[in-house]
Amino acid sequence: MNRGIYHEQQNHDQRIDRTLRRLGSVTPAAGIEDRISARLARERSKTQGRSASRARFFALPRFAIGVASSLVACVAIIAGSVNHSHRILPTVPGVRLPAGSSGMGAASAAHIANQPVSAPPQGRARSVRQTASGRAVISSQTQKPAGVAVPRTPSPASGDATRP
Amino acid sequence: MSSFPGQLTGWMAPALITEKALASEETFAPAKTLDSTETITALVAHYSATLYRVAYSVMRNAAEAEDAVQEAFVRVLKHRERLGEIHDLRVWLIRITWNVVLDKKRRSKTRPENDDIADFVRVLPAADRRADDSLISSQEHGRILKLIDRLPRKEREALLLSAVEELSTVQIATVLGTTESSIRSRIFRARRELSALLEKEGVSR
Repeated sequence: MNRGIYHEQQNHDQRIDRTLRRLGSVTPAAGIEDRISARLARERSKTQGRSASRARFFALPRFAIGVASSLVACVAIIAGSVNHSHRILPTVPGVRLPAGSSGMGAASAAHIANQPVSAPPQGRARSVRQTASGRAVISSQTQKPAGVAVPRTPSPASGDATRP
Repeated sequence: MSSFPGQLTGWMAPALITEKALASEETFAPAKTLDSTETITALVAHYSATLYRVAYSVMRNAAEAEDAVQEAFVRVLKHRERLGEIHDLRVWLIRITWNVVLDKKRRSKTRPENDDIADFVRVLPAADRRADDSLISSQEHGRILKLIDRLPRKEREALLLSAVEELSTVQIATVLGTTESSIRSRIFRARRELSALLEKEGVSR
């Protein structure tokens, strides 16, 4: 019985070996090297053609890009230098910086107005909406929040009622 | 237990093949003076048949196997600057071919099976057939290949690469990214399972 199993096993092994040997000993059709070489030559020419067209594509714009970038650089340099000149030479009229100033001053330094300051009307410069008595004037058309009582402003014609 | 000697023979078979293959192996080292184009031409002349066998073991179709070999050499052409750094060109080429073949096989999963046994018989030169090989019919060959396809992936890959006589177990291990002992045990398991499948098929027939 064991011998039968052994023989059967051996038979299986032989069949497997034969199949594997046959599978591993196939030979390609004649001329495989030539066909591979031809395919490689095709690939090589395709790659070269692709790189040549890429070089052609970049050849013309390269000059244009160079010119444009140098122009932009020139404009940036000129604009920067003009801007810098404007900053170090103030052009506001009427300003006279003290001679020998380095451009830096303390907070307590004298402030010079840019232009002559006119005298305020009626000797006060705080608010033009104040009456002579110093009370704020609110017109009757002004929007006021609901529920807020606002004292009526005395009319200038009736005189100042608060004064005795 | 009585089947052990047979299994042992099967297990040792790849090692025996390896020694034979290594003894007859011609080592190829491209001359330093060659440029990359000449090196690739020399590689094509030297390894195209081996790579074809590797590709054929998976594709089982002459045209697709040749296409895979061409594809592998195109990849070599693209990475030709690395040629000088490669220690073992043959294993490197086989690995590239193996990856190409697996990619192709994965892509063709949606397509119907294209195992072409008649094609296989045509490409096999009559002079290479041995007496015992002539006994095996194309049908039986196809049947065993179909059973091989039913094996788990790792075992199947190790078994198929072991069929390529030029490859040692060390080289198979390098191609599959594992150890030599792992390859040996995979081949052993593959043969045992294949034997069991043949047994089952024999009973059912």
